[in-house]
Amino acid sequence: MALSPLTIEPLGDACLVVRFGTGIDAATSRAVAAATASLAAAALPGVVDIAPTFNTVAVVFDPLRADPGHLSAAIQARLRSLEGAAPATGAIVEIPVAYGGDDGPDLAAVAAYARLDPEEVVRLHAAADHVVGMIGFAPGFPYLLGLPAALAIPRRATPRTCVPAGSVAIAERQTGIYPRTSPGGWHVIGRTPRAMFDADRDPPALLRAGDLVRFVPVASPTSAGEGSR
Amino acid sequence: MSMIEVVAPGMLTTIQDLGRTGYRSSGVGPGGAMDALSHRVANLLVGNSDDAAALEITLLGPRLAFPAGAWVAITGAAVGAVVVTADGQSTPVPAGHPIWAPDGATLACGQCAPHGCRSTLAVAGGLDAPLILGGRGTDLRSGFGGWQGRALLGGDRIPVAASRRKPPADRHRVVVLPQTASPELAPLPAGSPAHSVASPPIRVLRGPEFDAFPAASREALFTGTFTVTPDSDRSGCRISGEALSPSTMTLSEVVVAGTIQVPPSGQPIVLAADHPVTGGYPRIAVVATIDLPRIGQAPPGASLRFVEIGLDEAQRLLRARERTLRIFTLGLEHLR
Repeated sequence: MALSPLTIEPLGDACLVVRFGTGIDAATSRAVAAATASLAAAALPGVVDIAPTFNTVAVVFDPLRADPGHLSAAIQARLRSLEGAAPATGAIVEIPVAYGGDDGPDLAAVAAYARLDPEEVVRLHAAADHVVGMIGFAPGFPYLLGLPAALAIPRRATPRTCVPAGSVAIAERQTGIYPRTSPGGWHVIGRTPRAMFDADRDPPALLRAGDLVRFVPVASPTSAGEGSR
Repeated sequence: MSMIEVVAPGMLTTIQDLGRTGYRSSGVGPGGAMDALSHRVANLLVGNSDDAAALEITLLGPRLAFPAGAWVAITGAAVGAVVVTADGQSTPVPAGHPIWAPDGATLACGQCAPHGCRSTLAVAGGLDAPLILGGRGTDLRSGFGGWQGRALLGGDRIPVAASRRKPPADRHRVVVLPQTASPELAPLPAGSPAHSVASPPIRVLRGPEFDAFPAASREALFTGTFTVTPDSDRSGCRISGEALSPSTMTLSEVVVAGTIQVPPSGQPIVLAADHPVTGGYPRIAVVATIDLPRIGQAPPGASLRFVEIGLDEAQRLLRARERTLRIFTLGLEHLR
């Protein structure tokens, strides 16, 4: 597979951003996942953190221990050595979701917008393969790609001030899961009992960029507890 | 084990260290001290490693009781601290000097001086907060780390790890140690420089979307004066001035501390220690690491100006400061 980055550019004096694409697509995601795994395993001198986004891999370094020019060359050499390697594959994670009702207060509105029955919205959402594009916004918050086009919907005009922890919400062509109760502008269609983030776990986030998520409808968020992990 | 007791917590007093690394892919940002330079200096003054856990004081300081005596040091913004002994004697804590708070003493802080908004209070041995995800600091946004994932409250009893530094012969008397005498180190013992209208501009590097902004906005960033607004916090320093024309960004991308984002309002946000790891606003510039402590010290109402430097200059400045810190550390060891 092609792992040649489009560019490697600095973000301040302590981070290099390796860019693989400009949009969201499967080939870019696979290149990002492979590069993330490879650069993490390389343990380049002075590098303190590696973080994938939809189309980039950020390499955070200690500016007293690494020179950005040398580091950029080392990153390119490392990625060249991976050309032709098998694509990285993520874990498959099942997430139980109680759709609608108090757990998914926006399900009816999403159904009306999509001109579908609420049951059909649930069926489409649960039938799709969702790939974790990145973790961001808040610790453990996954941006999931793969929302069926029939369910695409703009963000809420007015963000909710309080979205409960575990809420499964959609906007544009993405699904997100709120790790903690927080404000949010996406449409909440359900809720999961799975903990997206636990500081006592390592890694603390349940999901990683590249993982494949399948949503499993359940009757209530308590009917499929953490025991299902 | 030794401990300190919180009598009154102050406005927002948290346990911090130099932050977490390695968990960005889980969405966990660095956190840590907003003024890392003052944090390091305070620790060095009491004989700790520079990354030991210490208290970060915000705007109004706490009142702390020391059932058993301890060496403490305060750096960063002046906070008008005094040590009051069990028999009622009161001694001001000079900035940047290690001071022995005797058995049974209390340490009372006032308000941070107008030209800074955070002070570091280090205790010899370091605060014994649990190590979570490689750090002992408090992540207020996610509610973990530090002391029960929150700011200190009255009644909290914070354990202190054993210190390498010996208590003085008389454990009931206040002792103030001199700091190193070398004049070239004069700026260091109190930590980061104060803010005033005459302060030099904050040094920044161009951000990834710099060229996407209209010429007038790029110029305004470097000619304008921006005022720190009161809604600033540990996640970002919000500044207002001549509105910058917003640019657009299609996807959320990675951000680091010091990233200057321009939201649709045109009023920039300078991201700080507790920033989220990704952001969807265009990044016009990034504050050089050398000046991040000054962002952490900028109080509401402070005026900020920006000047562009290159990567080489940013590295040179950082190396020079690190050399100064090393000499300072060696000087302290000679005093002992």
